[in-house]
Amino acid sequence: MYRFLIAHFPNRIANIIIALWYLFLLILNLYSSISVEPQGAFRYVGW
Amino acid sequence: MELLLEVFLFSIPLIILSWALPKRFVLLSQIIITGAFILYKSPISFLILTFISFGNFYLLHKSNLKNSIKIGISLVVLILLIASAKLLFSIHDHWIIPLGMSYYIFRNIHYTIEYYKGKILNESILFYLAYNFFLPVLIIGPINRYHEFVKDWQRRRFNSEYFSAGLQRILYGVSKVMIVGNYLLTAKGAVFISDIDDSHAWLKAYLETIESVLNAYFQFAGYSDIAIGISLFLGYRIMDNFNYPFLASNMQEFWSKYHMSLSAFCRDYIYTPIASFYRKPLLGIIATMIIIGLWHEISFSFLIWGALQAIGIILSSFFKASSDSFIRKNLGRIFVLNYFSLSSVVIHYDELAQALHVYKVLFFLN
Repeated sequence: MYRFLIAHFPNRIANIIIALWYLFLLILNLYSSISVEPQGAFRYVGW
Repeated sequence: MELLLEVFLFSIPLIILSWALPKRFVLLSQIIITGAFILYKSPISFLILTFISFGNFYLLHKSNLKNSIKIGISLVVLILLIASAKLLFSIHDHWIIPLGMSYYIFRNIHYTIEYYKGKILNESILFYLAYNFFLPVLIIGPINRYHEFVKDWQRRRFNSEYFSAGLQRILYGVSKVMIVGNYLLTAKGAVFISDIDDSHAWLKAYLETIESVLNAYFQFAGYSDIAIGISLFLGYRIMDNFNYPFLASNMQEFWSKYHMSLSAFCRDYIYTPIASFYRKPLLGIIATMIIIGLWHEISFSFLIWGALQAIGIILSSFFKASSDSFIRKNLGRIFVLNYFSLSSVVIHYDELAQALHVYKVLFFLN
């Protein structure tokens, strides 16, 4: 994704977009972790 | 998630020490921290792993037995250990497979076979212990290879690119587990599906089938990403485990992109020897996929699941697209998602009767 952005946008814009993308993911992760009960290990993985 | 947090917690000193200590102490620190983690989480697994590590190393490198006898003993003990653990898991409800056993046994089988092939030249017990006691991949894979591990260790140097790539990988991994797996598919998707009226039984069963397969995939791929990310922090490039498998246009391609470390292991050590010895590739495919099924759990359900995967691969080799047209490729993708999801119904339920009931609904046999 970063390579694509660097290829199509000026460096500074690409860096801002990628930083916002990471921030967006971080916020979504935090939201998910507080709004969902954690799942236990599932048997498919073979724990 | 608790286990994941504990892995992160133990990874912090692991990463700091691996760059702060003089190189000759780094492997030792990795072994000690990983040993402490597994001893804390699963003492029985710690004992088994320690026994395997020292026993296998002594047997292969120090004993005076004939090479064929050494290899035979090593493989029989390793296979018996994994088979008995999986059998106990199938028979007793309260038995759980020792933490990470499915993965470290296969790593050791790989080591033994590579030793037999004469490819293990480095006889250092420190490398072997570090390979076995490597925290990031210990509990959920990927089943990394010994040569790559040693090569990475030899090339290892501080590289900021590894850190940024590792951080990105961990973020994507946690996102797959938390956002897609736990939130979108489990919390929202499963609730949405359970709210569907019983008069739409087919739609409900179908969506449940797809949801459970995608959930398993995102959770597993997420944990693999996290393992690869932590390894990058330590300076190791661990092999990928998933490469967009649901974009594959046939089942053969799917299995070269799904749980790649296990499928590559089975290709190298099961499929290739059988297919070349008997000159029957179909037999190789069937044996490989059944063993992949039984690796998950020794049960009739997983046996059927493995056989269904084999049938899928064999069928895909008959109907291989002569042209790579857009429509054909996308029809293939739809087929792959549906075939894998439908064949996985058999392993999603504890009782085979429940799975049969779902199949009846899905195929309008009710």
